[in-house]
Amino acid sequence: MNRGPQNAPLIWIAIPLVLLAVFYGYPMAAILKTSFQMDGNGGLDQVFHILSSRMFGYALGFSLFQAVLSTLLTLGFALPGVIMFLLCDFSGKKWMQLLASLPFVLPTVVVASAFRALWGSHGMVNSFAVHYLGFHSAPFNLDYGLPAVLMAHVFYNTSVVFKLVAGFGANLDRSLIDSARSLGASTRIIVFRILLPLLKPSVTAASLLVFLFCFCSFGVVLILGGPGFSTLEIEIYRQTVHFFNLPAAAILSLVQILFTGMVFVVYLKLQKHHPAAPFNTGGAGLSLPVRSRMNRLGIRFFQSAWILFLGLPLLSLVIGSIYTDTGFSPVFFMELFRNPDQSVFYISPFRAIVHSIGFAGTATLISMMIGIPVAAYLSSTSGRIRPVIDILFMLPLSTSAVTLGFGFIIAFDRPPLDLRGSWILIPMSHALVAFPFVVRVLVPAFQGVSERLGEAAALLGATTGQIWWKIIFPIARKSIAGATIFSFMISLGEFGATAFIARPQTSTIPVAIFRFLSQPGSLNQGQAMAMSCLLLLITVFGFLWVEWLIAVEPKRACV
Amino acid sequence: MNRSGPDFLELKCIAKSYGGLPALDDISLTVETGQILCILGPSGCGKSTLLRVMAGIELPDAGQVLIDGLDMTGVPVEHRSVGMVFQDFALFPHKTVAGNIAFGLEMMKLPRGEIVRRVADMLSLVDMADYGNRQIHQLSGGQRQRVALARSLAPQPRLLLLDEPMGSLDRALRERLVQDLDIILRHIDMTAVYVTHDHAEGFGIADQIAIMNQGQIGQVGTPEQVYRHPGSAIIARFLGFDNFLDGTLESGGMVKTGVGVFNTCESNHRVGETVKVLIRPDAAVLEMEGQGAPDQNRVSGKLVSRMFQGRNYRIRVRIPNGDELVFDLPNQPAPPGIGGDIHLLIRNSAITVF
Repeated sequence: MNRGPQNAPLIWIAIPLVLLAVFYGYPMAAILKTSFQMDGNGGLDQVFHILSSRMFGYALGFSLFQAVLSTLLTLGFALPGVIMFLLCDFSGKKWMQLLASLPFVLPTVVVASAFRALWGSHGMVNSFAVHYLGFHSAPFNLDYGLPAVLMAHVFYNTSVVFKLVAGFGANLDRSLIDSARSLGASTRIIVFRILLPLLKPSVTAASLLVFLFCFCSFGVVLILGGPGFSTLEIEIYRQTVHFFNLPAAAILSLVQILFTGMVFVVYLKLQKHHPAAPFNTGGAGLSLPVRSRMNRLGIRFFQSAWILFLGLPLLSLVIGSIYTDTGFSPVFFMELFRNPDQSVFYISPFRAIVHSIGFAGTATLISMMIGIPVAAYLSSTSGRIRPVIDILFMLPLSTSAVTLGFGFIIAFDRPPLDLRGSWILIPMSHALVAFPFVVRVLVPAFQGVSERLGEAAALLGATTGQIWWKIIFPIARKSIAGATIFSFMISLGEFGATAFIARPQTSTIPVAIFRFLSQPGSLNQGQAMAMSCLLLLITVFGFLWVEWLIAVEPKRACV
Repeated sequence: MNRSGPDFLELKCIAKSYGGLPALDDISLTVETGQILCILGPSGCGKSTLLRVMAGIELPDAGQVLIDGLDMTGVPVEHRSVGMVFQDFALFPHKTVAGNIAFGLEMMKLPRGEIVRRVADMLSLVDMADYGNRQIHQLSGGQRQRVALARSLAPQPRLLLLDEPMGSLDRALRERLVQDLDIILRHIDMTAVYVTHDHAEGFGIADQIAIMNQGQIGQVGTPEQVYRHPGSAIIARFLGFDNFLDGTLESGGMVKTGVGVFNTCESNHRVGETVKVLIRPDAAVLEMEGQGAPDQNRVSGKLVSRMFQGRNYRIRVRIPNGDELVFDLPNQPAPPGIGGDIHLLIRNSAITVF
């Protein structure tokens, strides 16, 4: 879209460009430099040595294996639900939709804690089996391992499939289904020969995204994977934190960047080649009244499975945070606010909460500072430079948080930018994770404000600045508010980058939860649950707030 | 023209409401075999809902749908063998033209060769024989409409339902396609129900017209009957007739109004009753000078506006009581200039009394 004859000047995004260069380009360059470091037995030999090691082969292979398996399982679980959701009319749809959308915004550590609370050896399922089913010891040992990781991945990626596929399908023309039925098609035929082929672009896009998220999954794998579990992300962390083998970590990061970059490019290509979708104008949905008893039973069954799988982990997290050895009590929560000061490595939960909120505020400020100008620029530029800028500011999205965190610690530990002791690195890394989302939300919002409104304002004598301040920003204010809340939530829950950058004296809620979870003892586990619960509460609140903002968004008068 | 047969489709006391608001209110209708019934009504009157009830896409809250004498009320759409053409055509975007037409035949599990043959027949029926391998997005609006028709006719349904099938086409194309559609449907002797809000379209294709308003059927009749004798003032307004005068019925079908006496052949009202008189806009001719003013069926007033429309002049006349009446006059002789006095003679067949 083009507001007026010229494109917006590049000066609009001068500050974002500088920040991107310093805090994204420079760390990435540092990774490249460290990979091919010449000191020691470095150089290409070192690269080949690492790429041919068993450690690397295992990490890459297992990353791929678990990501493919997670993707397939996610599709297997989510697609039937999405199809049922699209085709059938039943009560409780709104709740199902909320429940299905929630996991995506939950921090990974919260998801990990929730699955520990449900399936762990002291979790709800095992406690139930011991107390009520007469087992002598916990029948399931799912504290660590592949099943736990897979379940957690399916849990939060179901949201991705649901959002993308159900969102796409909700706009399909309902009369396509009606006409297939009037031509004699049964429900099975409609699903397999009409609905699925039509949904294909969105299913492919969702699969790629889920694969990418699982391939880059860090928090869940680190907490639920256990010692024998190694993916590229985990190996980068181990090589850095445990072995201090920076060149090895750098090479792994490079592989990770190349791989995720490739998947991301494929994803973007697919988005571009969207076939002309048969969208209707009304968006009335496809839902048909359910008539037969069998279908009604089937729906109830699926609905229950959906609610159990998505709701139970969260419920058990809440229960786990107040269920102590001596019954229900708020002791874990109270414990969070005491400060025993036992050791220098001890992380005070209370201080972590304070830090997290401070960091999240700063990160939100930075990501809006980058996001708003970039979105404004992108929505008013149509020249050849637009795709370049677009891709440039999307790059952080294709880089995993772990790689980003690793890049930060090797780039900013020496002059010219020695920021080792500085707290700013944490919110800065969070802002890099969050601002691409801000841009994604704001560009369509800004573009949604009619070009003609801008032209009308200009004819009435408004300058470009006045058009933005008095017309576009006020009209898009709900989207701006939503993006702000979203940034704040991303920062609060960020774990991958923070795990590298945070020091004990600057640790955040997710880092504290991770520490508690990896220490034995019911008090530690309980405090992890309690903190996860607080984070869950804040996230759910933010999530509902954003949902509400979108829901009350008035229909745009200007097309 | 008169191809009347036994009732093929019969609706008995159909009722349906959405969230307490009645969408269909006790509707009874019949369509004879081989006839085309047009349901005509403003948007939101429930006509599409009624069509969906006939198709079995929606279930009525009460009432019966009989097709060929059988109660089909609870039978779902996929088992009714009823064809339907949708407003946006609802062609499957992931299939070719031939793939779309073949879909219903595949559902009938016909052998491959039979399907190919029938698809070819259908394509030539709608005059698109060479288009079988085209993708849907390569077609123009008119072509899509014909593919949609071919697709719905391919399984040889006993009843064809058309839901505003010209709704998304421009007017010039619409007039031609209505003619083509009429020829095709009569060629294969199809029983059809056609829903539209456009009366020109409806008059053009229908054997019978059912006027629908606010979930109720207001009038059923041939296009000529409905046009000449609208059943109520509301129906007349929907048909675009706006010339109403208040009057009192006198003996001999004469109605006395503020602008004079009209001879109406009216017999449904009692003498002395207050009535509304409708004068259709196509009913007037200019009174020639020196003709001698008649004492009835005459409207005089001042010309407020005149708009040349090619075939005729549309004029607005302000009558003595301040109301304005609209007439379409033949383009010869030209009406006087704006502001001038005008005298019109009204044919009494164009007058209806409510």
